[in-house]
Amino acid sequence: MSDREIDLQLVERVRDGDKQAFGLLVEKYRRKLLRLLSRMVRDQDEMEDIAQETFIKAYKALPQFRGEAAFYTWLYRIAVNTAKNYLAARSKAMPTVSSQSMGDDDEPDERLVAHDNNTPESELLSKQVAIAVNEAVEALPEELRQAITLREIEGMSYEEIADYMGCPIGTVRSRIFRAREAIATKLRPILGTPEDRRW
Amino acid sequence: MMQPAPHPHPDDETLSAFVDGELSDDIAETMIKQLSSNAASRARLTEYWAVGDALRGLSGQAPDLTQRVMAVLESEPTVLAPRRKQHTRQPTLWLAAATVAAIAWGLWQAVPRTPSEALMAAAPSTQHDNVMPYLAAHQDFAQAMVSTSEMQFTPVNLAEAGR
Amino acid sequence: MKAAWLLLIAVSGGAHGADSLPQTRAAAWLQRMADAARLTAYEGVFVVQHGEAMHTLSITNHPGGPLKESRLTAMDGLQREVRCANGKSITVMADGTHIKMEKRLNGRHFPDLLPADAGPLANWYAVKVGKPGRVAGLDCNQVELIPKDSFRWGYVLCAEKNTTLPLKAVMINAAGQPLMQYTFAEIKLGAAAHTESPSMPDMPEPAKQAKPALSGRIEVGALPPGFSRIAAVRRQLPNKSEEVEHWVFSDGLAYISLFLEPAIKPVETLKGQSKKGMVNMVTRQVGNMQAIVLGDAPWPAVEAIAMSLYARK
Repeated sequence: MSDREIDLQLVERVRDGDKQAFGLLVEKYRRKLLRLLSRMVRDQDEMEDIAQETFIKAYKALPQFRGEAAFYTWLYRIAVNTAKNYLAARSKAMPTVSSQSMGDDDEPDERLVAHDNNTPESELLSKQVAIAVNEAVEALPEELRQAITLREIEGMSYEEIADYMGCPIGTVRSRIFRAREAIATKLRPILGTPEDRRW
Repeated sequence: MMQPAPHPHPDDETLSAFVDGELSDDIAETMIKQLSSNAASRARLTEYWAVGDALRGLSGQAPDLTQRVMAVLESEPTVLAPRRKQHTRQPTLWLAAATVAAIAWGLWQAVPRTPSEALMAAAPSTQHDNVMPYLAAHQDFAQAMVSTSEMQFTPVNLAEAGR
Repeated sequence: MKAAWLLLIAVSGGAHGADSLPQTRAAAWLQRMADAARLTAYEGVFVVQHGEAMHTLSITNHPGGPLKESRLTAMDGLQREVRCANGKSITVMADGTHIKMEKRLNGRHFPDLLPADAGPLANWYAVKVGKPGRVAGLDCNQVELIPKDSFRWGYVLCAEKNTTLPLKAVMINAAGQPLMQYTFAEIKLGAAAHTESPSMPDMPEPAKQAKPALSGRIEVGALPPGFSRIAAVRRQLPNKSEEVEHWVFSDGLAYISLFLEPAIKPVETLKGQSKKGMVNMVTRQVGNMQAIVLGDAPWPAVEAIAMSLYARK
């Protein structure tokens, strides 16, 4: 079952009355959505407010989601519209704020490295996560590192990775699992076990 | 609060394959069903998603966003909508296009100018090592789409006549 | 933008009806769309889809001077930026805490799909202007580029009503099935003029001398109509220690790459194809070199190039 099908199934479960399933979709896409919003909005708090509003709008609009576009595409469009409305409303109050934050030439390289709109707390967390991930990946044996990179960065399927690495698909599955577990173990102390933050 | 690292359960490897979209439909459906009642599975699943995001440079901003959203939704009426008819596996716009990376090789007896269909002999399972670097270089040229670097180049002198 | 309207009226009112435009009109349309991509200022976000894979990118285009300056930023996956200015292109990537910059070969990408001199494309593609549509909140007109032979894929573009900037481009096969699609999700035309900060950093110029050809005596016997070689470099490829030679052939819209490197052991002739055939590939031995030809083109084009390679005596 493809990733896209999984999203559709989760949406179906929400539509069948299972709110937990929506929480899973939020967990899955919240970081990606925040990255998207960080291109449009500079303030961390605003970003989170817009993200929250986006998810709530998406939940309410789920009966209208037809599954023709991917769930994330649909969510993305809601986010962009929500952000635009937010910025438009705000610029009425503060005329100096520009809603053209995309494509700003003034910081060509900083965007790529730091998150220039973080609060000190979230910036620290971002750095900690980045350091932990780098350490975890560097500590992996070569074949585990290659497998997880081909999967998560290059987006290759197990079959493609098996072809590329010259090993059976079962081995690919096992290597990715072990790499994932190793990285998750390093991240756990920083992000806290989700049981702590159950919803 | 430090906790001992949980030992990976046998089920966790299935969850890992689930994250990659590599489970058969039946097993995946079963997995989805039990997620609602199994907090430990949900926790592990979200961890694995976090790993993927972290690898792609997305780190843990707004860690409590999910709780906040779900807290608001608690007071929302539960969404109930008639179940849609089974979604077709393939998107309606796309008739089975696939990622460029999936190349199926077959042995071909080279005879110039002959229709290739007549010559596709062996089953397309012959492997070709390391197709990816060439595809990557081509894709970077054609679509500016590749996420890797290490493709420095210098011009080549092809000055001899007739080349 | 009166000219665009006149052209449309002529097309819809003329005797041809749903037929392709006559060649001179086709060439004019192609040139207008090519110019629009370079000369229109815009910023926006577009989505590239091929099969299940989907990427989101943000783009800004500041037309400055004779050639455009643009910036393309990946919005998912690894942080990466492609910048094109003055005919040059670089990729900028974050590597841990470092910024890595590398030169790129091709200075064009969606929506700048058509070459600077786009008129000659009308020799190889018939052009049909179709019904109006709407993409990213803007009105546009469908423009079909229909290959006149079996050496290239077709395209269906949605050209913005006033500027004719492509807002959507779908690469299609002979059966009209989509192979790959670019769509603007969000676009703002005529964005503010950019500041004077240079987008292209001072990069060390390559050594004046081009390197000698690795390929020695390899030559191309014949190319499909309209194709010519537009690049020849020696380059590093990811995960390969030795350099290879990379040639690129194009008709202005379609790209086919040739990679040449010394054959370590005898090279089996293999044909490959991506699922549903957007990319075709051939590996064969030519002289003492391994040649890999691959491109976003139908099999006959890849085959023609690959089979016409020979080693000059």
